[in-house]
Amino acid sequence: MLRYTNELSNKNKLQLESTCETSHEKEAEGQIFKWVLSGHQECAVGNRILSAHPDSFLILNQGSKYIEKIDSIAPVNTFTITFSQPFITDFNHSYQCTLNELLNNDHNESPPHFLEAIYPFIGDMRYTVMHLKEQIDQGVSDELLFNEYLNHCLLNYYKLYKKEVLARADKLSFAKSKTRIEVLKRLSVAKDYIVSNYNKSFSLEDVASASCLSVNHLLRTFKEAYGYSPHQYLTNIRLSRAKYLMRTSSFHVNEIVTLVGFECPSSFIRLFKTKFQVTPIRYKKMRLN
Amino acid sequence: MSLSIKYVPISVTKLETAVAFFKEKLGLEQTEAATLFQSKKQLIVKSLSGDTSFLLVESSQQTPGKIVLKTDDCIKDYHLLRERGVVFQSQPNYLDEGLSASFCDPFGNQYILLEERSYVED
Repeated sequence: MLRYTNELSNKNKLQLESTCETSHEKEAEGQIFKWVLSGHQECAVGNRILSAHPDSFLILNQGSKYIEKIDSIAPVNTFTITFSQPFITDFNHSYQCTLNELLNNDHNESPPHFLEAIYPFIGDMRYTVMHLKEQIDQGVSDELLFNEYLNHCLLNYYKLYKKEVLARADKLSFAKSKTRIEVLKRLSVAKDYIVSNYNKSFSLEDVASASCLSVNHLLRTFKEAYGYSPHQYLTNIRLSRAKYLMRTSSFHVNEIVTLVGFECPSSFIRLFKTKFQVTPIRYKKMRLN
Repeated sequence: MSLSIKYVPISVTKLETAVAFFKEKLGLEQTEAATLFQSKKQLIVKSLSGDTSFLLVESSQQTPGKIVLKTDDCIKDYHLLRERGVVFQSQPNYLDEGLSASFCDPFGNQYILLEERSYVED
């Protein structure tokens, strides 16, 4: 196992690991942001299994007990940032104006909560984290620079929170905002169940049961919040992960079909072409060139 | 026809101060003499690679200009320049184009650091 750990003087911690096998029970000492830069890792939190892939990242709340599991032939590269509570409190205080802008200029609104969930690793968050990692890889140890990146990481998260939690909750057709947030939290569990089990066979009842919603309720509200039915959402995850494997691995298309959970190559090809306007084989060739 | 920018002219009121700013703060290493403009005092400052070249022109009647500088990591360069004593007008700011931060030289010329970012998913 290769490991880099740097605990800054303000108790924020940066960790890079590269390992093929691990199974450790841990307790989050601070607010944890966890990225899997290659391969995948499972995190058992309570009765949930959250699976992290390179297209997403996990947030684990301070005090959460979790078991990290990696079992892979190729090394899995992970990057973990543990934010100390005083750093987050200071950040919220100094960035209150910016946060208010993010939160629709509502000056009475408190800063966003950290919702323990899987978030898409896209946009500014991806740029910030990859730049920070590049500095670590180059041997830089400037704490002030690291803290600049960490500030931006929180800023990026709050923007993502607004998009992935508040904006989706607003799409739900419930009168009370507390109800909308509560239902969105359950839908987030449903979404994480789909994302974490994307390559396995499961039923709508399994998703509904994991998220404490009835099947009918799940079907109606999931589409309102995420714009897709759970099945469509699952198909999109499978297709985008197939696309990722096509540009980053040497697997044959037929192998990828099975790896991402499709049973029939012909329906995979049809769905892939419909979504990305290119056949899987042509896409793979284009990326190789 | 193949046109590209050779030098970015910067109007300054004191050439020596400008050269010191470009060398010490912005880290441009080389200087070269120039006669391109009708000014007694002008100098080219450029990076070692020659990718970035400014033509500093001393003039008593100076109108501040605006220059957009490309960076591959706005947070890193913002931090580095601040450590060298450059005063930024604002913290890095998120725009549709990417991440940006701006500062001024001693003559009021404004420099906008821009890290272009693609938000289109691959």
